[in-house]
Amino acid sequence: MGTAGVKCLKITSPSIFSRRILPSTFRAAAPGYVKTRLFSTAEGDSPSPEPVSLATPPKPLPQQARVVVCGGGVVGLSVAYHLAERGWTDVVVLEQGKVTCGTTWHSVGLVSTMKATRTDMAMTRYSADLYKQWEAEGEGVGWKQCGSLNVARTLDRMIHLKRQHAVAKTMGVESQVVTPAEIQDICPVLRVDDLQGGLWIPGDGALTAPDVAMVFSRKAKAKGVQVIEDVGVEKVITENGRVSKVVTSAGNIKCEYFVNSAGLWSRELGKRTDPRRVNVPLHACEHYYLVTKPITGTNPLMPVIRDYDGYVYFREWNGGLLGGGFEPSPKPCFHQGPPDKFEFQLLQEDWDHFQVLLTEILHRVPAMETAEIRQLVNGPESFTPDSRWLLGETAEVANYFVATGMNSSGIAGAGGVGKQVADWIIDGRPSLNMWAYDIRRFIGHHNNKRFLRDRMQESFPATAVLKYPREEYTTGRKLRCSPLHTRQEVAGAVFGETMAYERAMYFKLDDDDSPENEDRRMWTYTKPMWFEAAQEEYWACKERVCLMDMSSFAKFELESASEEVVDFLQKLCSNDIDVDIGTIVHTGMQNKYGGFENDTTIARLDHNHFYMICPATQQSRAWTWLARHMPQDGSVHLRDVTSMFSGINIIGPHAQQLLADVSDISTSRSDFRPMSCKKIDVGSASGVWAMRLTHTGEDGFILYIPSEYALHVYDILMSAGKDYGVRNAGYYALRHLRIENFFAYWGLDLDDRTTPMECGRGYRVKFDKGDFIGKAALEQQRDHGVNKRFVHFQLEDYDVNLDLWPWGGEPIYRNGRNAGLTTTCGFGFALDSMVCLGFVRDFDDKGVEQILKNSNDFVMKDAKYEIDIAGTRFPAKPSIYTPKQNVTYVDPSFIPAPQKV
Amino acid sequence: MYRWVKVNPFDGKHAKVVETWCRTISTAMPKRNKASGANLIRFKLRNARIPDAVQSPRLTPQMVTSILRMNEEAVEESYGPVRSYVKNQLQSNKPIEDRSAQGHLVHGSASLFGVFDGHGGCACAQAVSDRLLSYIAVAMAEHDILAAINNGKLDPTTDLLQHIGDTNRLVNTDLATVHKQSLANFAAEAMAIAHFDGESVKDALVSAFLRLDRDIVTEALPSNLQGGSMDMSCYFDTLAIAFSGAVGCVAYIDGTDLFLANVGDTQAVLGVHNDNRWEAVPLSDTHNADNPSEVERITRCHPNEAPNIIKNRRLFGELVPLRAFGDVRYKWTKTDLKHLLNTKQIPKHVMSVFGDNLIPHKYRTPPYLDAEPEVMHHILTPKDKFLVIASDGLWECLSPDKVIQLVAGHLDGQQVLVNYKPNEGATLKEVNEVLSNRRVSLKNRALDSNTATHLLRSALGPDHGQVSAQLTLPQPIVRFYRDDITITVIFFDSEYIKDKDIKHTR
Repeated sequence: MGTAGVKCLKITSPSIFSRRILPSTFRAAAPGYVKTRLFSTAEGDSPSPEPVSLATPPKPLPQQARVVVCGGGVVGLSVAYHLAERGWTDVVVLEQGKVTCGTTWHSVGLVSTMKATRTDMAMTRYSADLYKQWEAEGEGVGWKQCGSLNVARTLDRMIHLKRQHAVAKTMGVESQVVTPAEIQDICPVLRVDDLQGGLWIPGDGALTAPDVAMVFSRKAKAKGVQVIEDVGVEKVITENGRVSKVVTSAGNIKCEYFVNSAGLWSRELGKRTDPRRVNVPLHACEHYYLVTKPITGTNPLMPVIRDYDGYVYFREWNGGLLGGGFEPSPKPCFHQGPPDKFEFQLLQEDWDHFQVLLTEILHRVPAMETAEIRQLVNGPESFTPDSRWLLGETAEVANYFVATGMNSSGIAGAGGVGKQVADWIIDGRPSLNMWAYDIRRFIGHHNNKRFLRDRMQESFPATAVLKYPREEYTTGRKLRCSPLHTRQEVAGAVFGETMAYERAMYFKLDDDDSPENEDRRMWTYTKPMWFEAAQEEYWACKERVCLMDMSSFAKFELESASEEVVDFLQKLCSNDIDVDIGTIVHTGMQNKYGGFENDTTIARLDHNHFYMICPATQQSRAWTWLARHMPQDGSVHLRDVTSMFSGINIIGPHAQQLLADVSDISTSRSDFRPMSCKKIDVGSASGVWAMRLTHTGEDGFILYIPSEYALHVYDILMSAGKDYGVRNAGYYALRHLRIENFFAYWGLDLDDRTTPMECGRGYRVKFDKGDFIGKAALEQQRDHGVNKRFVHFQLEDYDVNLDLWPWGGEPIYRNGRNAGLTTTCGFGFALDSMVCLGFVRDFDDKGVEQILKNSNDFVMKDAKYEIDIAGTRFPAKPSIYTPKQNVTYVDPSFIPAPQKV
Repeated sequence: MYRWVKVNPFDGKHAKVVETWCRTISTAMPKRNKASGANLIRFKLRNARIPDAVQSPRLTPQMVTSILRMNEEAVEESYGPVRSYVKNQLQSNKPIEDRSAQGHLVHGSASLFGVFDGHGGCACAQAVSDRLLSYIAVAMAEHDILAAINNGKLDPTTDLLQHIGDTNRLVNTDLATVHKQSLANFAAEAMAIAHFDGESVKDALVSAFLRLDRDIVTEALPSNLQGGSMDMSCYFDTLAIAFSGAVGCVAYIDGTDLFLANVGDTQAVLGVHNDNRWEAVPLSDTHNADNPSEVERITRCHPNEAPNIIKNRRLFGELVPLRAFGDVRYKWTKTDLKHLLNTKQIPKHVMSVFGDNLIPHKYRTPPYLDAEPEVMHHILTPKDKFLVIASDGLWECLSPDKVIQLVAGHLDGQQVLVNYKPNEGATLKEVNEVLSNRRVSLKNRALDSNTATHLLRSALGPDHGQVSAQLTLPQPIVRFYRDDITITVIFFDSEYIKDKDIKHTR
C-alpha cells in the first residue's frame, strides 16, 4: 500500500465497475430513443476488473518527443488529443498504471455547463459539444442528454441560480428558471414541498467517463500520439529553467514540453523536478457516492439533479439511482502522498461519514428509501485551495505545464481544458481567458501540505456549499501578517485574506454588534453589514486622513552595475521608465498580443536601481514574467522584497500635513510632487521610502518601511494624526475609492487579454521610446481599433439598501444586446450611486467580437445600457472618463506649512 | 504509608507537610459525596515558585496515556454470562497496596472476580488476593472433591481454581507451604463438618472469608515460632501479613446468579439499562463509619465502649474500614500482643514498624474487627449489562451514577469503533436509521479503548492538565489527593442471560 494509515481496497466483485459492464451502459443516442441495458448481470458473476487495455502494446520508449504528458486520465489524454488535432503529433502520454486507472474510472460522468463564470461555461460547453458529437459519430461515450436540474431550498440559492442563468443567457446556453411545480413535472421522483425553485438546463447530460478517456486515447493514437502504459515518471530534468528531459521507469525521453496531468499524484510529481521543484498545490479528498439496485419505474432519462443546499446530486444508473455529494467536514486522504500503486482501487467506505449525505438523499428522493444498495463508492479525488482547476505553465519551470486539480469536475472540464492547454503550449497563450485557472495564482505557501489538508474542509464542499461574493476562507488563515496586525485587531479590524496575507477589510463601528444589526450578514447578495463602516472610512479618506496597511503588495527591487536594468525594463514596459531619479511611473508590461502580463508602479531610486510594486495577488505571476525575460548574462539583479518592507498608505487631504509633522521634509506639492519618491525619516525610523501616490486617485503617500520599523511609524502617525482626525481604513474603502475614481486593477479588471488601449491607458504607452514587447500589437490597435473598451457605469433607478448588489460578472446590455460582463463593482459614495466597471464589446450575431474603430463613439453615442443583476435589468449611465464628483476639497496647498525652526 | 494517615489535610498535624510543598492553598473545597459516602477531597494548589501543574502540564499527552495504560488488561473470553472483563490499576502508595484476582472454578461453571485494597502495607492484600479465591473454591467443593484433596489426589491451591488474566502470585515457597497447609486443613474440616451442598453459596462465601481471616490471624501467633513449625523469615512474613490489613470485594457469578461478598469499603455497582436509561445499582454496602448500621453493630458488640472505639470516624481513631482481613492489632487479645512485644526472637525494630503504640488505647474487649463479609444475591436479567468493582480510590473521585454513565457511554462509543457494513438486502431507509443511531454514539468515542482506563482518566481529569497534575504529585503528598485505584469492569452477555432466563422461568 505504501502509505501508512490509509486503507485502500482493491475492489472486488460484484462491482459496478466491471469493465465488461461499464462501456456498454447507456447507449442513449438521442432523447426519446434509449437503448439502456438495465443492469441484469447476476450478482457475483461479474469478474473482478481486469482492465481491458486499449493502449499501445509495450514497445521501446521513444528517445525524444516534443511533448511528454504524464497521466493517462481523461485530462492528460484530452491534452494529447488536442495537441494532435492541431498537428502536434510528436506527443507521448505516459501512464504509470493503466489508462483511466487513477480517478477517471470511478467518475460519475456528469457534464454540467452551468458553472460559476463565463469561462467555466465556455469550457464545459466545449466539452459537452465534443462528447455529443462523438456520440453522434458512433464513438460510444454513453452520452445521454437528460438535462440537469439545479434546485434551490433557499432564496439565496435561487439568487445564485438566477445569476448563473443571466450569464448563461449571454452565451446562448439554454436554461430556464422553474417553479417547484415545474420541477415536479420535469422530475416526479423529487420531493418539492421545501423548494424555492430551480434552474433547468436541458442541454446537460451524463455519460460513461472511462469511455470518454478511451475515445480521446483512440483518436489521439490515430493521429500518431503514443500512449504508453506501465511507465511511471520518476523525475523531470530541467536546464536553464526549462524542461529538458523526463526520467521514467523505462528510460529517458528528451522533450521540449512537459504536461503534468497526474491527478492525485501531480503534487508529488511536481516535487520530483530537478533542480527546481514545481509547486502543484492540491490535496486528495474522499468523495462518496451511492449506487442502488434497480428501482422499478426509474426513468432512464431522469435529469441529473443537483440539490446543493443538501450537498447532494443524483443521476440514473443502470435502472437504479446514483446519489453522491460534497459534504461539509470531508475526509482528506493521502496526506503523505498517494501510494505508487493505486490502480482501479477505492478507499474503505465509511458509512458513518456518508450518513449526512444519505439523509439528504432520502429526503430529496423518498423513493430511494426502499431501494437496496448496490455499492457505496469512496474514491479519492484531488482538490485545489480555491476549488478551481490548475492549468498552464508553472512559475518555476518554463515549458512545464500542468492540467490537473480537477475538483471533481474532470469529465465536464476535460474537453475544454485539453483544448486550452494545447493552445497554450502551441500559441503561448490559451484561446480563452484562463486567468482564474492559471497555476501562477499561487505562491509557495499554498503548497504546504498541512495548509492544503486544512483547506480541504472548504474547497471540497465548495462544489455544493453556496459561496457568496467575496466570501473569505476560514481555514489557512493568519499565515502572513503585517507588523501592524495586532494593532489593527485591537482597533476592530475584520480581516480578509489575499495570498495568505491578512488584510484589514474594514474596522468595526461601535454599533456593529448592536441588536439592530443582528440579522445583517457579512456575506450576502444584498447590502452587506460592512457597508456603513466602509462608508465612514471612505469619507475619512476623502475629507480627512486615513492609514491603510498596504504591506501585502508584492515588491521587487531591480538593480544592475550600470544601466543594463534600464534597457531591460524599457524592453518590458510600455511606458517610458528612463525618467529622473525619484520619479514614479505607472506602467504595464505587455505580452506580444499587447495584453497585461504585469501592471506595476515603478519608482526609480537611482540611475541603476528600481523599486517595483505589484498587486498582492500577482506576486507569482509578476516574478515569473520578470525572471523569464532577464538577460542571460546575469547583468540585472532581481529581488523579491515583499517581506522586507511594510507599506502604510496615508490617504486624504490632510496626509500632506500629517507627514510633514512627523518627518523633517517639506511635503508641499511643489517640493514633493505627485508621482515622486524620497527616502525620508519618519519619527525615529530611517530609510523609509515615501511615494506620493495612493492607488486610489486621492492625494496622499505610501510609505514603504523596513518591516521592523513599521509599528513605530504607525504609532507615530496615529498619535500625530489625532487632531487631523486620522483613522484606520481597510480594503473595502480602498476598493470603493478606486472603483468610483475609475482605477482599473490588474488581476481584477485587467488581465493578459486586455491592452492599455482598451482600458483608457493609451497615454501610458510610449510608442516613440524604442522597441518593447507588444509594441506592434498596440500600434495595430492604435491605428485600427480595439476589441473592447473599459467603461464606468452608474446604475440608475437603483436602491442600494433594497436591491441585489452587483459583484462583478453581471451581463452588460447595450441597446438590448449583450455587450460583455462587469469586472468589479462598488458603491460610489461621492457619486451617490452604484458603480460598475466593465468592458463593452461589440458582438455580432454569431457572438464574435468586432473591432471597435472608434471606441469612444461606440460606447457613448446612441447607446442605452442595462446591467442584469440576477435577472433584473437596471439602466446604467456610461462614462469613459472619471465622472465629476460633487465633493468640495480643502486643497491642502493653500494651507501655510508650519514654520520649521 | 499507613492507611490511617489519610486525614483531613487541614488539621494541624499534617498541614505542615502540605505547606512545605505549597506555600498557600488558595481554594479549599472539601466535598462530601453523599451517594458514595466517601470523602471527596479536592483542593487546588497554588504556589509562587512552582507553576500551576494544571495550567502548565509537566507530562505530554503521550506520557499521560502510557502511564494510564501501563496496567490495563482486557480479557475477551466469554465464560457463561461473562462476555469479557477489563481492569486497570493506578498506584498512589509506593508500592501499591491494591490487588485484584480473577478465576474460574474448575469444578462447576462459576467465575470469581476480586478486588482487594490493602492498608498498612501491601502484605495482607497480597495474601488475600493469592488465597481467598482458593478458599472459596474449597468452601464450594462437594464431598468427593474434598475427599480427593484429603487423599492428596488434588492440590487445593492449584487444581480447584483456574486463574485468568495477570496474577502476581507469592514466590516465597516456605510461606506457600504454610498457606497450602492451612488450606488443606480447611478442606479436611469442611469435609468433616459442613461441605458444600450446592445451595448455600452465601454461607460458603462467608465461611471462606472467615476461615482465611482466621488462618491469617493464627499463622502469626508467636506460638508458631516457638513451636518451631516456621523459620524466622517465614514467621516475619506471616507477621507482616497479619499486622497489615486488607478489605475486599468478591463477585461470584454462576449462570444468572450473582453473589457479591464484601468486606470493608471497596464497592461493586451494577450497570442496568432500563427503558433507555442507565441506572446504577449498588451491590455492596461500605463498612466504615459513614454506615450507621456498621457503627451500631460494633457498639452493640462492645457495650459502653462506644466513645473509645469510633473516634474521628475511625476505629480507635486509626482505621477507616470497620471490617477487614488481618489487622491483628484489633483482633488479638491484649496478652497475645504483649507477648509478641516481649518475644526475644523478634527484634524491636521489626515491631516498631507497626507504630509506637502497638496496643490501641483502651483496648478492652477484642476482637473489635472481623472479616465477615456482607453477601448480596442478585439474579441477573438481560437488562444487567456490566458490573464495576473498584477500590475506594475510584469512588472518592466518581459517584456510582457517574461511573455507570461513563461505562455506558464508553460501551456505546465502542460499538461504533467497528466499521459499519450494511446487511445484504437492507433498504436505504433501514441503513439510514442505523447510521443515525450510530451518529449519536460517535460522540462517545473515547480516547482509550479500555473501559477501565477510560474510567481512570475520567476519575483523574479528564482534562490533560488535571491528569498530568495528578500523575506528577510528589510521593509524600500524593496520598492526600488520591488513594490507589483498582477497577475491574465485567461485561455480561445479555444473550446468554436471556436464554438462561427463559429456561429459568419455564
